[in-house]
Amino acid sequence: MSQIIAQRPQCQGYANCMVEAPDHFDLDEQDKVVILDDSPTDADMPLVRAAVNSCPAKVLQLMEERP
Amino acid sequence: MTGALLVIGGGLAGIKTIEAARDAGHTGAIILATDENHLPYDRPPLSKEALSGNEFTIPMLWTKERYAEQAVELRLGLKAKRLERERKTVHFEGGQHIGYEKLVIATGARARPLPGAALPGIHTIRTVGDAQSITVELARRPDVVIIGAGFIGAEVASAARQRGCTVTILEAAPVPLLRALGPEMGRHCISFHQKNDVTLLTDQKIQGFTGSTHVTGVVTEHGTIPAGLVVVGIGSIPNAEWLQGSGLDIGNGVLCDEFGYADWSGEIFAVGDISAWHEPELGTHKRHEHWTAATEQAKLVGRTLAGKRPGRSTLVPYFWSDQHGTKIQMLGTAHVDDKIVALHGSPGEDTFLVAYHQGNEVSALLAFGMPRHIAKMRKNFVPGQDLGTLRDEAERINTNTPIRATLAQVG
Repeated sequence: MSQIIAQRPQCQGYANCMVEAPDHFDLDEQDKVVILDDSPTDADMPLVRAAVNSCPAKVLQLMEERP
Repeated sequence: MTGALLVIGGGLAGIKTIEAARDAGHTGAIILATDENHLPYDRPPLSKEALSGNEFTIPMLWTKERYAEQAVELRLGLKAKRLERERKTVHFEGGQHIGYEKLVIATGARARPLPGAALPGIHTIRTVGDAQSITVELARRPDVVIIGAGFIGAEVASAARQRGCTVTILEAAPVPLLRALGPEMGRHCISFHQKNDVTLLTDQKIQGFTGSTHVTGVVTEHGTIPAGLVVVGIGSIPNAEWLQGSGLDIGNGVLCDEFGYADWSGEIFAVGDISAWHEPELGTHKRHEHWTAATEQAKLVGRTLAGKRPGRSTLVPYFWSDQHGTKIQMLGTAHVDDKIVALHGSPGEDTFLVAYHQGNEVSALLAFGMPRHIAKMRKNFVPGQDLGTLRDEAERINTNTPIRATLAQVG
């Protein structure tokens, strides 16, 4: 299973991830990223990858399972 | 063997184009040539975190390893001099040249200089080097004058204030950001700065500078304002000189159709700050100069390069700015004669969301300090959307507190 990791202290609240994959990311009251589902299914991967790539602050990381 | 995909310019647009092309299955050779000597980096932090005085690492777009992983040949320090379309070749300063099968023009823009502003201590901000010079000057806590009340200037003002400097912004127009934000919210920016101890003066004509070895003041028709550091933020100029004589259509940037094609050969594209794509709804070309626009253009062109159907850009204009600890975000395009109505809070408060509208049709949303709202609304917002619907949506978001997940989060 692939896994999403967030370096929350560095989050700048751009929320680009939330726009790309709203079922996987949100912001909390401090406008820092919250991962709603940290173990995306294969079907979710294109969205999650887009979300990870969309972060201007480079806070998100995707540990992809090697087949 | 087929030729390479050649990308000229190492900014966001160039890298994101390559990223999208590889993601969409492009397997051919890719060469990225940039005139900078740094690995390609991201620019938004340069007028923000980079000036904070905290330790700053250059925000690389890709790690060094990723270029090898993605089979991208990176050529640093190569400045394009001329495009020869007949031979499908780009010539560089120093006599080198590279042939291409497909060419992506992504040479971006540079800061517009202020004529007569040559003294040490007067800066523009566009590159990592610029940010480094400014942050060194800020450490002396100089009085700071910012010329131009645009977003870049306002961000530098905010960073300088946070470092304890006295900061004055001088704006030539009667209202700052009139075209982007309209008169009412433009005027709001004046009080927003004031509330954060930054003075913003409008209707200012710069007559010159005082100082001999370093700037000491800015001379306006009303007198001289002391300044140990001046930052000029009066817009940008597309880096298109190298394309003179190429036969490409150059206006305010490289004129492209709505898919990013810069000519009829189907081989040349332009993306990012140098490009002005045709917008059928506007009936004209528009150069956007926003992070999100560059990313979107890159996605479409990347797909085209990989032989996939690009689709048309459906992106609603979106930009953000970070000032005085508040995220300012705009979705859509405001018209100068739009009315403004608050959907959440009100413009005197720390956080608020307003809609720009004509009758019931909303053209844009502007938020101060409400990134979660904007993120939720970015998904569905289209210009012309019904005001009542948006008001309901904004209220619905209010009552939704995010679910706290506890998995795999650092910090």
